[in-house]
Amino acid sequence: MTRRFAGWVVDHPFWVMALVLALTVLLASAIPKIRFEQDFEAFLPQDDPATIALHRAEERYGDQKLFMVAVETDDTIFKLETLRKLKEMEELFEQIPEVDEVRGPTNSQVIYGTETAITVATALPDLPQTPEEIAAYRERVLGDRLLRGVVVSEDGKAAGILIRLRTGEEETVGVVNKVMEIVERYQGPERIYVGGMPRINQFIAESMRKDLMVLSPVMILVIVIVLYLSFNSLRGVALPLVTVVLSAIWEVGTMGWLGVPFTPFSFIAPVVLMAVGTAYGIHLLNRYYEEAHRGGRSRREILVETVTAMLSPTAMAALTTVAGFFALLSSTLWPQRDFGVYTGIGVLYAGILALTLIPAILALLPLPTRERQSLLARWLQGRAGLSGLARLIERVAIVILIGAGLIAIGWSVGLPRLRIETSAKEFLGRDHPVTEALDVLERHFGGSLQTAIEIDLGVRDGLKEPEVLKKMLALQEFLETLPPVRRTLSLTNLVRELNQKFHADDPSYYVIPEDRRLISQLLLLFTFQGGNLGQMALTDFSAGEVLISMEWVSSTEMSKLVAQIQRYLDEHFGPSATASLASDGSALVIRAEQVGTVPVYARLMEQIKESQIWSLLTSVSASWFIVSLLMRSLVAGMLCIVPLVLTILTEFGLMAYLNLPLDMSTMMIGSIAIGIGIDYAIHFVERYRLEFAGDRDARRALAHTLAHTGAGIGYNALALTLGFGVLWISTFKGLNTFGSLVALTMVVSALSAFTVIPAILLLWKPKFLTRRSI
Amino acid sequence: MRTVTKLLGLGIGLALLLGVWSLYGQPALTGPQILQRVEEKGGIGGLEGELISDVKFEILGKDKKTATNEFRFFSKRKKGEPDRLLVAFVKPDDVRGTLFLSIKPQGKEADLWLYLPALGAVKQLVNTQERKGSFAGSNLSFEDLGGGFKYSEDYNVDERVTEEKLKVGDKEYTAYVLTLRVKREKERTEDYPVRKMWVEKSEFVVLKGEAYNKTNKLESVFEALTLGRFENETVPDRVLIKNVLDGSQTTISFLTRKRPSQPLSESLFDPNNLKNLKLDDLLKL
Repeated sequence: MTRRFAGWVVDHPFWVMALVLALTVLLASAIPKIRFEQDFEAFLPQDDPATIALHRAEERYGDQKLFMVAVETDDTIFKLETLRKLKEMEELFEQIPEVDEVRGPTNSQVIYGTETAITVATALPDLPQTPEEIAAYRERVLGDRLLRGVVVSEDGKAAGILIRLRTGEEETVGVVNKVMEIVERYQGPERIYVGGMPRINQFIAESMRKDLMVLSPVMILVIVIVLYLSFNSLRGVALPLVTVVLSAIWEVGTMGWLGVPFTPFSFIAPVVLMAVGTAYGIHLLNRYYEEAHRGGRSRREILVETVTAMLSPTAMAALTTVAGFFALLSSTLWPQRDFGVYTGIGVLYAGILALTLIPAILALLPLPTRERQSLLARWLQGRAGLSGLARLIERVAIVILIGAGLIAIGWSVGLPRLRIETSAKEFLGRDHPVTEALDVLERHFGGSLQTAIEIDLGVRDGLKEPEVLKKMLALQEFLETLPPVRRTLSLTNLVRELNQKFHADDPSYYVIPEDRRLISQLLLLFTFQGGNLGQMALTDFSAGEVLISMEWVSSTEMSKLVAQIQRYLDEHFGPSATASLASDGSALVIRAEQVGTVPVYARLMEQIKESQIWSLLTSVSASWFIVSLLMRSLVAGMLCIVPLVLTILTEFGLMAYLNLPLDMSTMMIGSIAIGIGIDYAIHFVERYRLEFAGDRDARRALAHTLAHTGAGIGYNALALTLGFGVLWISTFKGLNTFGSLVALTMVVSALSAFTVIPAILLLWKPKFLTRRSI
Repeated sequence: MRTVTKLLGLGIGLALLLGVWSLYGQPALTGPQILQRVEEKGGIGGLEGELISDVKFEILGKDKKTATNEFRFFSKRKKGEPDRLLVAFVKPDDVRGTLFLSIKPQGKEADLWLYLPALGAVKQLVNTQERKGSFAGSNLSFEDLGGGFKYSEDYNVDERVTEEKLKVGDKEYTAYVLTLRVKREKERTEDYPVRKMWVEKSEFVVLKGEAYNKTNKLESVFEALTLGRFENETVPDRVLIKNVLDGSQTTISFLTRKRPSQPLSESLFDPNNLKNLKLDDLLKL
């Protein structure tokens, strides 16, 4: 069967090439359809109760697309030159067609109350001309509770301009670019930052495109170098390269046809595939050269022998790699599932192309005339390389196993220290301008993360009840005692502010009025002034939100915060605590629910922990099952898993000791390491079994296996280590860490395959070695 | 205050909608001429004389929640004198008895006062900012109502007009379709660079309006839902103003319109007398 397949491929090279070409054209035609999805909120598990609550709140109160431009000075913003800049920037932002509202330190609304009048004015209608005018303006803005800490920092060193987009403006990237252009004109000596989700999304979209433009060619260059070092021949470089480039085209084309977008996780799928997919071409060519150099046979015989010998290990290696990537299906985040599925599909494509296209092309090329061993091959097969290693393993097999065991224990001890964190800020990198902007907002404007609690009474005008407002105020006071919370805002702030203004600005009236009618009339006045209640209340005042601005703390702290808030809500907003709040004595039932992004992050962290364990278990068992099935031995499956366990322990142990968190990107490493890393073990064990089956001489089998298959594994490991190392140049910090950790796991799993497996096989000769695999 | 000035504008706008013009026997008109006729129906001063009207606002927020307000409007307009408008809140109960008074001398900004019964105090409202807001949380902007459909100050009208059939209720009307483009000097402050207006051909009643925002998207739609008769003229009885982007809308129903049986007392429009006015007495007028 295997031989017949090999024969057909070798005998029909043009058919194979025509079929590959046709499929390439068909799939490539869908590549332009690929779109980019960069909104982090869209990545959250959509069926989780916390996400459902978040979306329901967004539907009710509007999904506000807000930017904040922060202007930071060393001394004060209350200088003519800085104020001029702020005023001009506000005016320029207002002229952007997609912008609905700009609210900054000069154009904000301020309300004054006297005995006889209420005045609504612009904070700074004209630029001040004298120090006295500047001082008066400073007093006006810093004296206003609704502006202080919102558009001007408490210490007066920074100013914030809030920009709200029009409803229906979905395409925010263009707007961000216009805002950035204006900001650039006014940079220096003040430091100006642009924050907010639209800016983060614009950065991600821009970075994904930039990364794709840079990573793909660099990856191809790395592959070319590794292939040249390995084979020292044109066909040795060109054939595996063509295979991986085509498989990447097929993979992206499949995504295009199925309407799957590129996300910050999945856009690297073709790049990763190029690194992973070279393995099949490398092993096939390695075997081809080996067969060809033996001589004495026709081109057809050599090729049929090569394909027949490589079909089983390639299929095993591809299937286990696919299983590793498919294990990401257990992830909570759909971009990670997409990454896993489409890289897995790409790996299958690469395996199929290596077993069909490469032999088809080789069938048309003359056999290599002489052995042109590369520098790397000479070193690997020399005394200092794998031959030397074979002799060393023979002598110290037991030491190797004890050493491996001790290393495994060492890493395991660190495992409890492994942190699980979920943060877009970590993914972007702490030193990026976008993250810096978040830090500035945090420093001066009460936090860069917003979350909310919805207070829903279910009855019209329920929020106007004084007792309800007092309960909300008590909730806000509690929230402000929690360390990460910087400020809160709700209808209570507005009602108290208006009450004070209507009582001649007497601060003693900064309280919730006892009269429900007065509350209603104050709010009526506010809406008549064109005031927008936004998220503070629904149109019928049946529900509203308490908005919380907080620091962007670790997700562990977020979880703690969510739990603390929930305890308070259960205690103070449960049915027994909320009866008889209405003015007419009737009972009101308040539903208080956390509806912001923070509960979603907290849930996500829990799920990452669960899905990490599941994806590791799935990929380990899937790999074991596949290898056991194809080698017809559970013991063989177990043997191939050994280096993986060592690799996984090394990866997580190292992360724990280096205090690197298990986050959205690093959580993918375990499954990938298993999927790819097991290939080395498979190729090694499969070749060892073939060698051992001949004369049952373990030492000779080891020497031969290391000399031939070991070289292939070496080339493969080098390609993968350097290939994943390419992610070091990605703009995303999360991908830098991901790339370097996967590169490390490739080195560790290759070393384990070279040392631990041979040591076991020398000391213990399992029965499966003398049986044939499928 | 500027938004409360909208109340004045509302009176003006409604008065405009009450006006009549006969076109029979007139030659074909250009865009600017039609807009002029529309504005002449009510003109800047709106309907002359004294008018009492009961108006209901039904607001559907973008959150799909509703709110209803009912008002009684008292307006007094006489050439050469300030325009005066008193708005009394009737419903909901919480705001019943709240009063807004606007006195707008010709060619000047209006002076506005507010009386909150729960506070028992009158406050003058001063608004020095340019910000535009919605009227009482509705979809009406100052330009929609405050301007009383008097757009010629801010917009240029295309000379060329087309005609379209338009149905209001069961009846079909022929309407001029006008295209208005914002004047260069108003580009910064005007939210809608382009508007379209459907004007009934024989009586110059505005049947429909569309406003396009700065990204050229249709954002606001005005529509006469039912037309009625007042003093032998066609007037809209119910109108709808809808934000097509966020789905919010306001339906305005004119519950009653009448001329007062006796001249409206000057004390109704005296800021110092606001706190002495009783809603029940006002509703008897």
